[in-house]
Amino acid sequence: MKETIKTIQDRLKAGEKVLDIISQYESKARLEDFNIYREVFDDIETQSIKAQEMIDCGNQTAISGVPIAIKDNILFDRHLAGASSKMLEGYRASYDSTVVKKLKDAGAIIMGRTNMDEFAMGSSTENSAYGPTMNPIDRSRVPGGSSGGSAAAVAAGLAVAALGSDTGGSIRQPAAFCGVVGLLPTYGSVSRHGLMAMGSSLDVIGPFTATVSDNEIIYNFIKGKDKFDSTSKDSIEKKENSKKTLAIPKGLFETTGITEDIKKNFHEVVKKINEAGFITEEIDMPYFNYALSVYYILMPAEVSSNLARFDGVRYGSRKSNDSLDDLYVQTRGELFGSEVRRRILLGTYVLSHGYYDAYYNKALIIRDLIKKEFNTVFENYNAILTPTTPSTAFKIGEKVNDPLAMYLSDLFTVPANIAQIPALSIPSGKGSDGLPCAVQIMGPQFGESTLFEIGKIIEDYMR
Amino acid sequence: MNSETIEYLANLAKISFSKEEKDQIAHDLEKVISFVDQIQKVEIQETIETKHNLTNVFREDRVEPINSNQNLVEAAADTQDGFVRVPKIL
Repeated sequence: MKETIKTIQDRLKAGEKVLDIISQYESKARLEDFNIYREVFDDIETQSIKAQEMIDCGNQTAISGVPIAIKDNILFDRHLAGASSKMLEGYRASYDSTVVKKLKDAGAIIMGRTNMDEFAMGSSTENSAYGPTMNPIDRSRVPGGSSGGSAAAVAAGLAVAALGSDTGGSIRQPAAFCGVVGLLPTYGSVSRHGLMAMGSSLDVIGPFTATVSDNEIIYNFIKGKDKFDSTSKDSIEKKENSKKTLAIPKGLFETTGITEDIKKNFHEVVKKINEAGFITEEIDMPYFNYALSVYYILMPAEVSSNLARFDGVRYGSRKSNDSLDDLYVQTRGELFGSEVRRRILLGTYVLSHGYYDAYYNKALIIRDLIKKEFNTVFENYNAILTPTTPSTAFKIGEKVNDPLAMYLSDLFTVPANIAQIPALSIPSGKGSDGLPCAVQIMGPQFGESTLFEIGKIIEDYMR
Repeated sequence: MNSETIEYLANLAKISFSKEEKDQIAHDLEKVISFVDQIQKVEIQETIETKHNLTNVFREDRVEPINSNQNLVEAAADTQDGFVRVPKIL
């Protein structure tokens, strides 16, 4: 049985000590064999004592004493952080990311760093340099990616909440595969200071939780404008939209690769939403389907820039000291995994002379058209509904040799990153194979409260 | 997308590849480029000067101390006397 923030609070109010509660989580985390945690931190006891002091002084917050896991690409001062890559083996963070600082100040316990696809590139956590994480629901299957470890930590009850990062679906897709709630917040609503950058115009840090309410609580703690991230903004007050209509993009199931289980589950969810009083309508969104192509042009381009800093000079290991060129080329060739090198090359190509206009510039223009299309839809509808993923969790090894097949699993998730809007993935029952299914609600920028409201309704109906 | 293109790109990106990897990557990238080529079907009326809702974020030009608990140089693989050491550049 998974605990929630409220269960932990109740236990604390009843007189249990933070240290006792957290020790239980720590033992389970140290014994787990799903390869979820890259490391369980050794200062958990110290953190628990501090949180207890906060509670004893009456200064506690809603998340004091709550065990939270963080993805291996989020910095926690003086703790190891490696983005599950050999390139950063042994690297210690020299500052706190803003999100970790906020959680610490609130008295939350940072349990450890979770496994991920290397440098957040992948949809299965199979691209980790330290082996894949297994889905706690079925060990032969992937937990999704790139935040697979964080999703699995919550699914396996090894943390009450976890932070991940989402650039093209890396929170929502593993949330769907593991049967937990995952939020992609509005771009800029959560500071990226201390998140190892992958795609700077796409990356967002967000929470994994067992329930929608818990997700809302964590989101409210981590959000906010930050002077260290000039792309961050405070939430804008939105006027209440009293309509209760949801849009479903037309032709959603015309692409191949969407399983019968997902189609069936989605139709059941739509029925339940209608019973709850929401009107659902299919609408034309012609640019929606171009989001995946736009993503696999813009994202690798940004990746090729962001990963240029990993050259063996200032951090990480080195693979040669013969000449400066060798230092760069050998270090990057040997310490980056194949998917990382693949995407850097792809980005280099679309930015190179002769191709820049046809690919990168054109993708930027289409990105604007996609954003405008979403804005038009949100003038008339509260939110947009789709399945989160085209299939349930696939088997470990099934897609790892076919990069394009792996990319196609991001079909429903990338549009939200391209448009920089929020999206919530909620578990919505099980497929015929007993594996979790999920639906995704997308909303206008800073429309998280709408997503949580609709999410709670779906959650209640699914019980 | 052939082995030569991969060599050209690998040189720009400063990454080494083995011969087998070069062929495999050329094949993989070819598939991805064919897929993303579908954007060529989209008709564009606008030029790249699309209006972006971006505003500059400024701060006062004032030096503020950063709380750094560690000597950042320690993170490098090869250091000497508080400096990062690299192979000869010139």
